Amino acid sequence: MAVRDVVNLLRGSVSLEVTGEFPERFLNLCAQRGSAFWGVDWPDSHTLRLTVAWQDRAGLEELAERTGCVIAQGGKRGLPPFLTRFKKRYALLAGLTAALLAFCLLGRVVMVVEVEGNERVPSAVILTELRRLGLRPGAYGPGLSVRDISNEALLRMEDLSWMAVNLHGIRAQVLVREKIPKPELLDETILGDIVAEAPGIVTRVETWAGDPAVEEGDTVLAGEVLIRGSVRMDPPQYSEREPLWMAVRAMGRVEGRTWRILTASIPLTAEVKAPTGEEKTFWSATILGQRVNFYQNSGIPFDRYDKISKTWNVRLPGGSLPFTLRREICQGWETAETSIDLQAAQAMLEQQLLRRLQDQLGQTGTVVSHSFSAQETGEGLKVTLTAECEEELGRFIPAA
Amino acid sequence: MDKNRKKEGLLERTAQVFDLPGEVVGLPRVELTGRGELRMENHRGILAYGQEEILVSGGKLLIRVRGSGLELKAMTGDELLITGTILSVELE
Repeated sequence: MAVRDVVNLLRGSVSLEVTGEFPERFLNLCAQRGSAFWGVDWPDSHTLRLTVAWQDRAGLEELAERTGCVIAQGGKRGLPPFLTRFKKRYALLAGLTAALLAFCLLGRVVMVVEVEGNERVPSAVILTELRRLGLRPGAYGPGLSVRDISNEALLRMEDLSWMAVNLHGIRAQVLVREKIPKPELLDETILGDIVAEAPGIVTRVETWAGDPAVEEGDTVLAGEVLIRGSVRMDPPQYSEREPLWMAVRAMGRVEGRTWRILTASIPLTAEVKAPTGEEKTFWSATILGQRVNFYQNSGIPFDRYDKISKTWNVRLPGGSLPFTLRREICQGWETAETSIDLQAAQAMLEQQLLRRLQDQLGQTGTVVSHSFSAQETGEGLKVTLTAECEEELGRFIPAA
Repeated sequence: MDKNRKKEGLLERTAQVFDLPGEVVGLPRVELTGRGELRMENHRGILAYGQEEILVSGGKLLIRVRGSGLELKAMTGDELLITGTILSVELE
């Protein structure tokens, strides 16, 4: 399509048939008036066909009257005649205007706030602080001073070292970097001994500061000193001076073999939930952070109930939008007493005991061997764990 | 009509005396590009129109363009453009 045709389509045109005694006079008046026309056809001496621009059609009737001609309007082409069809379709125009406004305005409204780069600081904490500073779903993007917001947020959150807020249309991307925590410094001015945390047999002694009080193979009890925080300084040979004692902070590592016995018990009967069959459903929606409830009475008529929530989020390929539909079902229940499954209960207690043992040993200790014993008593099921472990025995105790 | 002709005669003489181009003083100017395009300035309107003959008023002159497939491509108050296969241009 030629450029000329495109231009004619954009500005629109109308075909006219001029009939009269002297149609050439009409043509000459059009030219004098500056009306653009083309496609002139002269079928006979009294008839003239031509195409005029849509914007020049007004006033041609008057020209025809002046020249004693009659104008018959033919086909219309182009964009302006097409748009004229919608001139009286007010609902369509209103909808179109609303859609355009929505496109222009909503495209600048923040709908999604995404936090990236945080590991220790929860996203909810950052989002709450940003919400206080005005960055939230529904905020008008160009009205936000993202630099001020990020600076202010950094001042309020001590665990963050850097923050940048980038607005990408309806999405606000919040990039954060967390502060590296300070290493825990050992205060060497606090003096004291290293004592045994649990009874056992010493397998290894490594002294960094202080005097070792035990050797490999020694048996120690809980609380017994393993490395003394006082160092004996002998006087020179043949000197009559008394030995000196220097107080230090005992440091070192004493490993040993220990035997730990842990017990746990559970009653033979337990109270379990028994659903009553009654339930109540609540529907709500959240639009740009504002919750709209679709129920009037929010009271729950059950003493004990489970609340089961399900949320449907409006998602786009770029992320989720701040429009959610939420359903909450409250299901009532009562307690009923029932006897427990002994095997399952024993397995559960054994797992609990192993977890407790690992907690006591820490990351450095290992379990060499372990065994369980179970016993039914009047109070319930009692499980005992006997474990042989290798662990660090020493624990620093400041001097009184 | 006589007044106009006298006026055009005066303009023509003025152009000759002062050695000015004729179109400057409003005389019609016809420019032919090959056989396919005729451009005219300072015309006074179309008198007759057809695919084989177009008659254009130039005031004192009458320009008759003959040919085949003639078309008035564009026209303003002062200028016009005729396209097609032009066989002859006659001045009357």
